[in-house]
Amino acid sequence: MKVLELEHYLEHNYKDLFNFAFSLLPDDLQAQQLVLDSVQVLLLDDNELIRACIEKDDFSSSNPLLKQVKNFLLKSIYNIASKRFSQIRSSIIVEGEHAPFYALPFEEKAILFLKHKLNLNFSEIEEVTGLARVSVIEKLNSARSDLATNLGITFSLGSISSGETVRS
Amino acid sequence: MIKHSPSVSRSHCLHARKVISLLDSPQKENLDYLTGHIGRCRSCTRTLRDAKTFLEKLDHHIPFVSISAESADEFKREIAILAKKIEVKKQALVQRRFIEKIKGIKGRVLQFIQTAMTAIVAFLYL
Repeated sequence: MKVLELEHYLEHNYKDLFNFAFSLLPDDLQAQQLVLDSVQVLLLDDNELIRACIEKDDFSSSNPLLKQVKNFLLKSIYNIASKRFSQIRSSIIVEGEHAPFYALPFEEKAILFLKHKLNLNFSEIEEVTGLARVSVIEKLNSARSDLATNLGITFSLGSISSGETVRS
Repeated sequence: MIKHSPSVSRSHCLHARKVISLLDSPQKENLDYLTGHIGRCRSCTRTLRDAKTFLEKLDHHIPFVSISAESADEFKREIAILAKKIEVKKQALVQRRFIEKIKGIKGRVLQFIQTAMTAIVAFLYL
C-alpha cells in the first residue's frame, strides 16, 4: 500500500514538526496538539494537495508532493500557533539557556527556526509564513540581531570607538 | 567613523559592515572570504571574526528538543488515521471514475441505438 509511504514520511518528519511547534509555543502538550491539529487541517481541508497525492498514486520519497505536504503542515502549525500565542502570551514564561530565543517576537522565532534548524529556503519560508520575501529577509536579520542583543553580544563595527565586543 | 587601514579600500569595509550589521544574509563562506579579503583592516577583521563566531554558534541558541516516546506514539496513531482516510478517499475516487466510465459507455451505446433506430425507421418509411 503506497499510502503507507506517506505515513512513514510523516512519522519520520514528526521531530521537525514538533520542534517547530515547540519553538513557537514552548510547552510539550501545546506543541503536540499543534502538530495533531495541523494533520487534522490537512484532513478536513479537502485540499488539492491530498487530491494530487491520491491521483498521482506516488508516495515515494522522491515525490515533490511530500515536501509540499510537510510545508503545508508547517504552515498550519504557524497559523494555528499565531492565534494561540496571542491568547496565551502572558502565561508563557521561559527560563534557561533558550530564554533569549523565546524572548524574540513570534514571526522572528518562526523564521529563525525555519532557516537555521530546518534549512528551508526563502521561497519555502514565504510559503509557510505567508510573508513577502522582503519581510522574510528583514525579519530574519532582525531575529539574528535581536538574538545577539538578547544574548548580550554586541558587534564592534559602527561603534568601534566605544563598543565592547562580547563573544557568544 | 570607521578607521580604515590605508591599504584597504573603503568599499571592502562597507561590504563587511553590511555583512556584520546583518542586513545581508551572510553565508559562512562569504564571511570566510571577507575575513581573508580585508584581513589587513584590524577593526573589520575583529568584527567579522565576532560575527562569524556568533553565526556559527547561532544554531545552539535555537531549541531543538528530544521527543518523548508517548508523544511519538500518539502522533503515529493520528497518522495511521490519516492514512486510512486517504485510502478511503482513494477508493472513492477509483469508484467514481469507474461509474463515470460506465456512464460514458452507456451513453455512447444509447446514442448508437438511437441513431440506428432512426436510420431503420427512415429506411422503412422510404
